[in-house]
Amino acid sequence: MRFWSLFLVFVFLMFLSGCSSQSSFNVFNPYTGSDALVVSLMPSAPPEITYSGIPYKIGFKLTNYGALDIHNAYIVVGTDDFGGAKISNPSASFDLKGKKSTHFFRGETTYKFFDAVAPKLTSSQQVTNILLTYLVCYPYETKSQISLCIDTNPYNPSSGGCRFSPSVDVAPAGGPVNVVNVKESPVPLSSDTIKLRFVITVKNLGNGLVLSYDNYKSLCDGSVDYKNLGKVKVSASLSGSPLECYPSSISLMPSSANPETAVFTCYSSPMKMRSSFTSLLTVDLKYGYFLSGSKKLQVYKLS
Amino acid sequence: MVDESNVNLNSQEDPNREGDTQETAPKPSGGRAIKNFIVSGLGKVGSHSELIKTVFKWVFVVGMFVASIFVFLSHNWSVASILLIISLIVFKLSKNSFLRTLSLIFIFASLAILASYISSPVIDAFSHKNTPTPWQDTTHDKLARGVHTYNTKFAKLVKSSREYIQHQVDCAEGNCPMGESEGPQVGMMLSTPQLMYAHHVLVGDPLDFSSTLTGINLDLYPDVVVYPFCSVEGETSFEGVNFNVSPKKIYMSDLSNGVVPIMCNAVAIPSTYLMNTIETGVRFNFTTTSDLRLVIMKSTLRNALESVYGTNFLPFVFEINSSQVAYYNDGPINLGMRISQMPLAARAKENSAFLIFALNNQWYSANGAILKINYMNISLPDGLVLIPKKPYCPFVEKGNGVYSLDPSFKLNSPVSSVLSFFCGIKVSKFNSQFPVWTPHIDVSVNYEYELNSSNDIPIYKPDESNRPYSYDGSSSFADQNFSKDCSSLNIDPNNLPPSKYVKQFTSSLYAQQIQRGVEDGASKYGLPGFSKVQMEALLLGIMVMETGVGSNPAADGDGDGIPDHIAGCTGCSSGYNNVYKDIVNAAKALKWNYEDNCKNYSAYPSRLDCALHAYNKGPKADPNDKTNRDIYRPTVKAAMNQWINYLCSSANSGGVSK
Repeated sequence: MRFWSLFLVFVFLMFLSGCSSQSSFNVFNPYTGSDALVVSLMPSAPPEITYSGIPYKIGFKLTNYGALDIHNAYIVVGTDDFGGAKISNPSASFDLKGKKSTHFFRGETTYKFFDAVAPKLTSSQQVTNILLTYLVCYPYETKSQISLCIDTNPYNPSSGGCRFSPSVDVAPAGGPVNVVNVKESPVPLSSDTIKLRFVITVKNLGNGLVLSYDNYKSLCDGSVDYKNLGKVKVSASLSGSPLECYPSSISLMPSSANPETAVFTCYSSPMKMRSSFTSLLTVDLKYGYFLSGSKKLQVYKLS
Repeated sequence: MVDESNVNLNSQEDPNREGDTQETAPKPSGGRAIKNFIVSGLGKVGSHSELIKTVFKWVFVVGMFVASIFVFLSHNWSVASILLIISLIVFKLSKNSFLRTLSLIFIFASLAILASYISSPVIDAFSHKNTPTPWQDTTHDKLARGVHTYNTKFAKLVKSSREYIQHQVDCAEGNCPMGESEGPQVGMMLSTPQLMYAHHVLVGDPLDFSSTLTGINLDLYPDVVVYPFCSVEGETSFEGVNFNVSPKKIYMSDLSNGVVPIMCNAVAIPSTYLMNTIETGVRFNFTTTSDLRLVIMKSTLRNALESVYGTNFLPFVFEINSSQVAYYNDGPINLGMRISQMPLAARAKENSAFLIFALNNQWYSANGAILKINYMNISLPDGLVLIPKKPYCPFVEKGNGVYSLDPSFKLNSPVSSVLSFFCGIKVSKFNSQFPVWTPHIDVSVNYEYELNSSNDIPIYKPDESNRPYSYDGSSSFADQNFSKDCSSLNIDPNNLPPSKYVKQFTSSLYAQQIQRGVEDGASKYGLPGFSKVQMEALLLGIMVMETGVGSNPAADGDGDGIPDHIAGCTGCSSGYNNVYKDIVNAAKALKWNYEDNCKNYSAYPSRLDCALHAYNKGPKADPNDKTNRDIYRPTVKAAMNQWINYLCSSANSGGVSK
C-alpha cells in the first residue's frame, strides 16, 4: 500500500506544480515568445582555429521559434577578401514551418553549410584572424490575439459581464515584432451609438532590424532604401470584423527617443451601446526582419 | 462484495493481509482504500468486471501519461526531479506490473524534462532555450561545450606560440598600448660593453671589450641574421679603427632565449690621446608586415544602417570595432594602421577617407632605432585606390594595386620613436558579391634596425716624447712559428730566477700584462734562431737587467715594474706607463738592433751581444765602449738562462703561453 501512498504524493505534487508562478499547465499555444528565426553557428563549423589555405565548413542552425511559417528566408555569408579566402556559393534560401504548423514548442529547424577556404598567410605572418559575417533576411507576420473586455457604454463603464480595463499589456505572440499594449476607449457618436478606439503600441522585441515586408531581402543584397527600414504593415479586427487603422504602416526605427516602438490607432464600426462583453482583438503585423552576425577565426600558418 | 482477484494482488505482497482485508476491512490504509474503492466500483459491474477492470486500468495509465505530459509541459526541473525520484522508488519497490509501467512512464517523462536543461545537439532539438541573438547563441554553444576542436597535429605549435600569438592578436585588435605590441614576449637587449682585461687603457693598448646580447623568443624569426659591430668614438675621432668582432653573425633562432657574448678587439689603435666611448651593437634587416581589415559597404546599405544606428553602427551589426587598428605586427616595429572612415562607403569620394599608418619603434627601451628603410610596399585589393601625395604619402604606384615608397625618400635621422604616413584612399569599384566587402590592406616594410649599447671609458695619454719606437701593429714576423720545445735545451732546475722576480712575473698587479707582453713580444719580434721560449726568456732577462723586474737598480719612476728605459720614458713619474706595450716595444727594439744595426757584429762574440749592446747604448754605440759592456750583456744572458730554466721546468713547460 505504500506504493499507492507514494503515488498519491506524486499526484499531489504534480498538481502543486501547476500552481507555480513561473510555469503552468497551459494548453499549447503557438502564439508565444518574441523569437521567430534564430540563427546560430554550428559549434565546430567554422572551427575556432584554422590553417593557412585550408578548406573548412561554415554551418548554420536555423530554427523557427515563431508561431507562423517562414517562406523564402535568405542567408548570405561573407569573409575577408585577402590571401585567396573565399566562400563557395555564399547564399541560400529556405523555408521553415512555425510552431503553429508543427504543433510543437518550436518550429522547424534546418541546417545550411557553406564551403570556405582560409586565406594563405604571407611568409612573415604567423597568425592572423579573419572575420566571417552573415546576413539573414526573412519576411514575417506576427498575429496577436488579445482577449479584451469591450465596454460600449462610456457613461457607465462598470456595467456588464466582464471587468473593463482601459489599458492592457500584451504578451509576445510568437514573433520579434509584437503588440505590447492596447488602450481601449469608446468614442460616442450619438446618444446610443459609439465607436471603439484601440490605441495599439507595437515594439520590436527581437535583436534584429525591421524593414518592409515587400523589400525584406534588400538589406541582404545591399539594395535597401532607408525609407523601407522599420516599416511594418498593420491591420486589426475585432471578433472577425476589420477595424480601420491609422496609419496602415508604422515605422519602428531605433533611436534614443524612440526605442523601436510605434503606435497606431484602430476604430471599430459604429455600434450600439450595450453592457460590456469579452471579444477577441486580432492584430496582424507584417514586416521583413534582418539579422546579422559575425565570428572571428584565427588562421595559423602551417609550418 | 469484494473482488477476490484484486484482493489477491495484495496477498502477493503480504500474504498475511488477505485475512486482514476480509476480516478487518473497516480501517484500510490510504492506498488500500483507493484500491478498495476501485475494486468495489468494478465489482458492481458483475460479470464484466475483468473487461472493465482492464479498461479502467488502461484509462488510468493513459490518464497518468497525459498527466506526465502536463508535467513535461510545465518544464519545471524541480517538479521533474521529484517525479523522477518517486518514480524510481515505485519502480524499484513495486512488483505490480501496472505500477511499474506507470512509474516507467514518469521516469521517462521526468528524464526528458531534466535533459532539456543540458545543452547538447540532440537534446537541444527537443528543447528551446531562449537565445535572443545569433551571436549570443553561438557564444552559448561554445561555452556550454567548453571544448574547442583542435587539430592535434598542430597542438604543440599552437601551445608553444599561444602566449605570444594571443598577445599579438590582442594588440592587433587595438588592445595593447603603442610600443608594446609584443611587450616582453619578443625582443633583444645588449648589455653595457666592458673592458675585457685592463682597468684602464692607454693609447696604443689593445682595446678589448665585450657585451652580451640577450634574446627572447626570437626563434619566431629563424631566418633573420644579426650582425654585431663595435666602435669607438671620442673627442678626436677614432675613425678608421678596425675591430675584430666575434661572432661575425648570429641567427636569431640561435639567440632565442639565450645569451651570446659579443667580443671586440681593436686591430689598430691610433697613438693619440682620446676620451672615448666604446660601443657594441647589432644591425639586422627585418621585415614587418601588417594588414588592416576594411569594411566597405554598398552605399545604400551603409546609409540605411547609419540612419538606424548612427555613424558607429558596426558594433551593433557585426560586433566589429570601428576604430580597430591593424591586427598583425611583429619584430622591433609595430606597424599600426587605421582608416579614418569605417565602414567605408562603396562610392567614397576622393579625400573622404584616409589611411593612416605608422612605424612605432617598440624596442626603443633597448636603445633600438630604424637606420634605413630598404623598401615599403602597400598592397591594395582591386577596387581600392591610394592617393599618393608628398610629403605625407611619398609613394609611387607600381601596378597591380602595389604602391612603393618613393626611392627619393630618405630618413633625416634614425627613427627611435614613430614614423607616420597619411594617405588618401578611395573605392573605385565595389568588388564583392556580398554587400559587406571586407578586403585587407597589406603593408610590408623592410628596414635596417640597430641596437646599440655604449660605455664611456678613460683612455689615458702616455708621454710619447721619448718613446724610441712607435708601435704600428704590423710585423713580418707576426706569423712566425716558434718552437716551444725545451727538449733541445739544457735545463738546470736549480738555477732559477730570484723568487721576487718570479712573483712579479706570476702574481703581481701587472703579471697578466707582463705575461702577455712577453708572449706577444716574443711572437712578433722573435730573433732568428731563437725558440719562443728562448725569446721569452731573453725579454725577461732584459727586464731583470733593466729593473730587476720592478725593483732596483734600474729606474722605475712610475713603479710599474717595467724599466723606464724599456718603457721609452726615462723621466716617467706618473701612471702613463704601459706594461704590455713597454715589453713589446723592447722586443721590437731588440729585433731592430739585431737586424739593422748588427749586420756586421764581428766586434762582438755574437750577433745577440751586438744587439744587446746597441739596445743598451743605442744603435750607434761604439763596440769598444766598455762602460757596462761586460756587465749588461752577461747579466742579461745569465738571467735569460735562469728564465729558460724556469719556463722549461716541468711545472712550467710550454712557456708563458701555457
